[in-house]
Amino acid sequence: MIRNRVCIANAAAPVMIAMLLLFAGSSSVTASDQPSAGTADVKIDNFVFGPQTITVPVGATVTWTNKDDIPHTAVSTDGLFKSKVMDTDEKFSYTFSKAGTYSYYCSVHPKMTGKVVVQ
Amino acid sequence: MVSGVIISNAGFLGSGAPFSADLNLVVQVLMGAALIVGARLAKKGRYKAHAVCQTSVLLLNLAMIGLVMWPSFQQQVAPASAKALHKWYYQAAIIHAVLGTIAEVLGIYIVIVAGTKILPKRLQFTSWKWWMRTELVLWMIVLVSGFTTYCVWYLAPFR
Repeated sequence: MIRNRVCIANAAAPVMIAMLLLFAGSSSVTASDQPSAGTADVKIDNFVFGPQTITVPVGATVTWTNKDDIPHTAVSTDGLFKSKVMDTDEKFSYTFSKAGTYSYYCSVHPKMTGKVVVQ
Repeated sequence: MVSGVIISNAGFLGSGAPFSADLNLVVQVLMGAALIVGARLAKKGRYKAHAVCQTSVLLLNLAMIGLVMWPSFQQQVAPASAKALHKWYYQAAIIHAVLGTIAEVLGIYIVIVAGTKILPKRLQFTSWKWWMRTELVLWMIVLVSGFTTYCVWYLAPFR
């Protein structure tokens, strides 16, 4: 009975150690592979930036995609970023490296406005 | 400051247009009216006033082309790939640009022939009325095509 328990313990120990190593290894790989911040999408549709206000972490890349039939731009009001004119399905990306609130608008249609909150 | 930039860029006619487009529309309508007034001056025999009026409009339009219309065309229409040119958005602007260029060049030609002697005789014309009336009609067509472009670009989507 005691010998059986010892056998099970002897067999289980390497398995547990292997599992611990596996978990430890996998967590370290995930941490190193994961981007420091994520990505976020803003769709331009029917003359509206959607979502109109987007909150992202520092280092995140925001991608604007024009889903309208008419060209649009995404231009930061403080001159931080300025897209070229995007035709249908064209994209523009910008990575925000500092915290803050960034207002932007479409230079072709200035009534179209949006905000990126970086925190 | 941030909102100030947006406000300063926004138009004043209540459409979705930027300030420059609204300003251009108003100036173009005023210039169209001035050309009609100028044509009436010629009918009344006040040729000097007629020449000053029409030439001023022509030069002002040249400034508006350089400051507003050409940069806008370069930014929004010129980069469009050939596959996008079938859209009414681009077609309206291209039609207006082609007709507008013809009207401006024709206007400059008329002013040069009427006001200077720098062109050789074979490039000059004597049928003043025909040339000037043609130019006036063409200018009005361009004005309508410009208004159509404004509507397609800024008015219709924001109704």
